[in-house]
Amino acid sequence: MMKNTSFALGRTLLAATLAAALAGGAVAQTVPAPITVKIIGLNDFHGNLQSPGTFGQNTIVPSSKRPAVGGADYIAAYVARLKAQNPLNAVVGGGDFIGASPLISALFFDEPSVEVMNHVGVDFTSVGNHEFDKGSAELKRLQNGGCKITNGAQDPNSCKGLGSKAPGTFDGAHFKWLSANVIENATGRPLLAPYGIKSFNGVKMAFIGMTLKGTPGIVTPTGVAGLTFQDEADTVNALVPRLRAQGIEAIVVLVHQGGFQTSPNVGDINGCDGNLRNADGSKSDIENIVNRLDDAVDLVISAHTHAAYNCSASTVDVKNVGGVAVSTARPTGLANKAGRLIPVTSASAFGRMVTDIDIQIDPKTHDVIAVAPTNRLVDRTDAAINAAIVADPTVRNIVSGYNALVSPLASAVVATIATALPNSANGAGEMPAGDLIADAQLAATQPAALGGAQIAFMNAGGVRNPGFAPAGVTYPYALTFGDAFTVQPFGNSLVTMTLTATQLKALLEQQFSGCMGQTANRVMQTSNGLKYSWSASAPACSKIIDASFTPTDVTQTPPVTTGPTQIIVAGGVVQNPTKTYRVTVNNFMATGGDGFATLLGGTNVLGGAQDIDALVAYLAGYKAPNPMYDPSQPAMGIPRMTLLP
Amino acid sequence: MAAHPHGDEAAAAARMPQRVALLQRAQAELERGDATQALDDFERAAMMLHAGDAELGLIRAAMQDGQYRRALAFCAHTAGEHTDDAEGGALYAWLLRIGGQDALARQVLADARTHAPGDALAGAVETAFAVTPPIAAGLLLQPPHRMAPWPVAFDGASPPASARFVSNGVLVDAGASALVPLRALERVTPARLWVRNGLGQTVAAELDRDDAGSAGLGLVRLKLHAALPLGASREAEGRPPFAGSPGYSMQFGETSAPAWPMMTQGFLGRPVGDTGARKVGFASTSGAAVFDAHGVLVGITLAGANDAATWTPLPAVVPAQQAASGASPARSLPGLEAPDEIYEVGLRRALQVLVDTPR
Repeated sequence: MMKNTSFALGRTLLAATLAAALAGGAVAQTVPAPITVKIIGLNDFHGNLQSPGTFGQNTIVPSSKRPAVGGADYIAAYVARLKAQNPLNAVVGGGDFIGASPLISALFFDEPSVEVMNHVGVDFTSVGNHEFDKGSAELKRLQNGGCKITNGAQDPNSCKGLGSKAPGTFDGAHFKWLSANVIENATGRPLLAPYGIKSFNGVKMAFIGMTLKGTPGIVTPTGVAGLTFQDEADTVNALVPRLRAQGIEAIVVLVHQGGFQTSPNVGDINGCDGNLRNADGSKSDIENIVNRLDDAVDLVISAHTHAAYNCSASTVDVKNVGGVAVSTARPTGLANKAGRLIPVTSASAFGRMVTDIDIQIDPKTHDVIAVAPTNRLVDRTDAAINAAIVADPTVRNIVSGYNALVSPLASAVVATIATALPNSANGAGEMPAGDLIADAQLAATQPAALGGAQIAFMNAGGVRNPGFAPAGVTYPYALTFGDAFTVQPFGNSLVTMTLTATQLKALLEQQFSGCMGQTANRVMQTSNGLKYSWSASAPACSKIIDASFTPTDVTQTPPVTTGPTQIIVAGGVVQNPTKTYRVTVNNFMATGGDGFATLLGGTNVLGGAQDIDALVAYLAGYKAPNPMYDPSQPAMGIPRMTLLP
Repeated sequence: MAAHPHGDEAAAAARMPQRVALLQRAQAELERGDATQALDDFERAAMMLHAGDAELGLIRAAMQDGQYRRALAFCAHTAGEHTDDAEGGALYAWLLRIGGQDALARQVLADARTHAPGDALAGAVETAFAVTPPIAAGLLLQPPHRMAPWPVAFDGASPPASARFVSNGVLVDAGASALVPLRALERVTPARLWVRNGLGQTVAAELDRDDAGSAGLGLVRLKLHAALPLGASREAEGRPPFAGSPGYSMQFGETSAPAWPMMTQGFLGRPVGDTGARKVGFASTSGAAVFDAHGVLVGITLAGANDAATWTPLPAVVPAQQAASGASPARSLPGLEAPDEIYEVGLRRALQVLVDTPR
């Protein structure tokens, strides 16, 4: 609880403490400095992985000057920035992270939203009414992980796993959904954990999470079947003794209920116009709850109304004076049961903003001394934030991946594959998925006008999902565009260049650690027609024993040999050093990626199609009524690599 | 969010005369095409009370402003939140359908009809969905439930009521010209021509008699009396999209009323003979704008032999000096964009071509 009866008094005591400390002597040595904890709050995200548009600090800001806000990648970057300011932090939510969400999240059962919030680093969030849109069992699945089952089978839109540990999986929430006032009738216990605890330098802080007790009246009855929603304030007050018994004095309530700012001001995101009273002067839903809260509660992070407000020691009244915003500090809060003003915040909705809250705690009594919240726009024009996203595009990549899978094209069948492709390479480093991709890239660049390629190489690390198909499917399998996109999501383009036989041997040698700066074994996947053997025990840069090339037209289905076999390397010796070959790789490799600096020496370089386009076009040759893709067909020329002792 | 039962919303709204006035003003701004001001006022109303009326206004204002993604995302929320009123679901279904998400659109509409079985608006949407592209008429054009943009006379000249739709077209030349299938205009003797984009922006046009190159490709170029805005839309440079790559087309139904175009999607096909035309791997109407997977305008569809659809890559028909600029053999663009991003670009590129023929 907050030790003092008002913010002003809190500051007075703090000042006195500091003054005593500054006076030196024994007092200064016995009064430890307060612990400052940063709480980062957000609410009503509703699966807005992408920007919901523009938003202003207040209504004085003209529409044309309001910045674009939000987006999961920007939320992640802003939260990371705030966390970097203080290692003692917690990221919390006020509910409705999911439900009533855009297609990019809804189509995949809101798994993408859970995954990005995992990456944002959320610790706890209350449940909101929309967490119950699909029922409590589905909420538990989102909490605990696992794929969505529809009609007895895994739903094809579940477990895309772009933000989980692996494709084909769904981790579930790493954060805890809290539901202190949602009781399962069958057990008499809360549906999910009622509260969460974080410890900061030995001082515990509790977060109690709740949704509004009126939830059953605003969601589908089947969503809340078997559940009872209890009074919010009564729930908190009953928990307080339990928390105190654990030595907890700092208590934060995350409640999915809220209010609105009302006249006379301009709805600044750090305002508390009308102290959240309704327009007719009556008390808002959130005020009715706070008025009955035990004095032990130090902060209320509210939600539900999508409104932005900051009713605290940091409140500002903002007025429009001739088109200019004039701010005046007006410390306030909503009165609790004891009449003490409690800080109450809300960060609008859809990821438009976060609430940045600094809390000072007395390390001796564990009481909260001061609370300073600030609502901050998740401004997409911030240069440093944009640089941070470029430096760590993890969340952006997750969103981009789901963005592509939203397309109805994702479910379009592009080919049939006969058997499962293994998820890993064999001992020689070859994987059938890599063979397939290399062949597709050769096919896309084999015509003279498109590059005249004879050989294609694919970096193994660029094969995102070597199995191609989701786990557990039966074969023959109708491969979709979405499956193909999951394997090749990087948007690389193809590059065709001329290499001499000497350069080709050097490129093959450069796959292995220790040769020409290569730091690890990076075995490339090769196209049909190229075969080679390599020795595991041979020294670096001398591993390639034999290599041959048989011209093969892979634009035909099945591929057709078009010329006699040429020996490139025999017994480790290049046979015709100046003979040239047209070789296709992706633009990542062409620019020396994965350590393949040899490719920087290629000549007559020509750009080509995107890798995903090449893959889909190649696979079309194996779409019904054509024969299915079968890597065991002799015409596929597999295996292409041989490992020697 | 705030899911207040609709009755509560109405009661709360009635207690807020300032909000009611704000909504009325916003609606008037929207109907005269002032999307920016309408967005502002609907947003202020939304900040005063979480209710469906302001949200639906915001969505329509966003569409009038060309912000399809914002409208779609917000409408997803409104449809999921205010389930006691079918309008959110009906509008969301319409936006999904025109954006190429047909199966989802029908599912959303079915859900809305389940919640409000007798709702006239949802019923009218279901009837309109029987046609492709769906055409908003009758109730679906009435304010405030309109499923179409409000008309904006971009150069001050509105087409008369007698003007009729003759074709789809594509905005090119930095917004100064339109390309239209020759066959569409061969059948009429137009006295006056107009083109209108998906934002309802309308401008008079005339045949470009100096353009000799387009006819050989089955096209005619129209000069617009005022350039229409392109937004962030880009035109193809260099090599056309690879056969087998994803593609999209944007087209209007046969209506002279302002409309939001419909997008279809599939895979772009291989060349047809040596004409430069290529197959279209999905349903498309003659004169539709064709986009690649990155939202780049790459061509226009034509009705080929036996009315089999083909599309003509754009570099073959834009003025030579533009086609030559920046030609690059490599297409090093970012990954696949979602349909809603493509749609937003297409709202400005796809055109209705209207004519008023002499009596």
